[in-house]
Amino acid sequence: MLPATEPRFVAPTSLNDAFGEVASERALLLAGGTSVVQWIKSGLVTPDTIVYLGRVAELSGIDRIGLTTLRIGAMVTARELARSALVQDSLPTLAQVAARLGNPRVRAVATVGGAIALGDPRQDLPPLLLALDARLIVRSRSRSREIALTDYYQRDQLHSGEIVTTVLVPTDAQMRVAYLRFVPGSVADHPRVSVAVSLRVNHGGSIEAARIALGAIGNAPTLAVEAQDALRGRAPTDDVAATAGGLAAATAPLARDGHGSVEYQRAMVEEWTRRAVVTAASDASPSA
Amino acid sequence: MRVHLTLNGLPAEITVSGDEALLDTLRAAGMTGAKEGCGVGVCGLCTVLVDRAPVSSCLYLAACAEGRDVWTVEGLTAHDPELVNAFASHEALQCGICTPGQVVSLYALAQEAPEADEAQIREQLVGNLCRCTGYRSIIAAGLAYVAGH
Repeated sequence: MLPATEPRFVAPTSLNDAFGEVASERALLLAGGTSVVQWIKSGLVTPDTIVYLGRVAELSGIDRIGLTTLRIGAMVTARELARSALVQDSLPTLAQVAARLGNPRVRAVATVGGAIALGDPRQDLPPLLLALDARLIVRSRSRSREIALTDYYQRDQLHSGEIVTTVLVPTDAQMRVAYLRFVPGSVADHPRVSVAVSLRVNHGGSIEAARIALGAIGNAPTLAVEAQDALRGRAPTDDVAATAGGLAAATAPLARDGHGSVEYQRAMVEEWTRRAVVTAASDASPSA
Repeated sequence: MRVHLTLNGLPAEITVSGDEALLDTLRAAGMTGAKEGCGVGVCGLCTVLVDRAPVSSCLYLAACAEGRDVWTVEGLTAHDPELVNAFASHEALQCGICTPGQVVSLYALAQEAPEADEAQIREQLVGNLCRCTGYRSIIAAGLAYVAGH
């Protein structure tokens, strides 16, 4: 067996250059590094090339597209999201969640593109972005495609040579958003369950649209579709929230893991979904 | 590969391998204030500043520091000895292993929030773990440093 040789490290400054580098089968994309560098240090991955995306100009920046969409570059960090006036104004819950993600050192490097690509449902951004109905732009040398984050987590996957370049998040002045995380352990632990809810409530006081994303359970963040359906057309009362909680718990893809039985997880999904719907309903800071 | 950066205020050129963590580079160069505790970015012992932000150097590849502005506890305390005075006068250390990380994180906060209160200090120190002091003396040192800043 040949001794392991150190990997090449490259830092392309354009997407075109990046596409050239990821053509190799054993090239590994590096964003913030909070997961990837651990894998490298532990020998879990042995790339021949590390492709650092931190200098790719097209992956940075936050701006608006028209009045209804925020465009976020894949290499935007949690720290940048939290401090962006644009995000604070148009998606305050996203700014607040980003401001408390992990710890200050994580926020300085962790990227939105990295969080999405990793798809760890225990992290905060994937379920929140799912509830916000985010879309991704995924590009390779030969094509560009736009996919809903829902589809990315359910059935799509990145093909060889593809890079997530952009996250598009709708901004809706009528949207009320909440993200709750239940952490029975210490502040550094992952949540047992997290729930992100976005509700559009009309002037008559009934819910026109609802998205409920469950995090920290299962293999990927999921939408509680039956619970969402039960909210539509109803007023966001405590009873309605309780019903949504029950449906989310009954339909969640649960499996016993190292942190609790299915019965326990089910009870926590029910309670924290109920709380998240109640909290979203009273969200007094819809986007401008 | 060669990496060019600014290190503790001075231009520096270092030779690193592609998968080398910045922590290891710094310690090999004699800057042993940053320490390896957990190796996975949760304990804070390896905290350094990169472009004014605190970073876990155990998970930050040295090659990523190309063109960046890096500060370690050695440079920051030379630059501002009040950091040391605040910790000493408030007995904000016992074994001292977490102290470099605490100092670096507090310096970064003071730069951005010169009137930081206790809540902001606590928020900034999330992830800078201490097994000895119970944190109160560290927070007191932080408040004193910010007040005198």
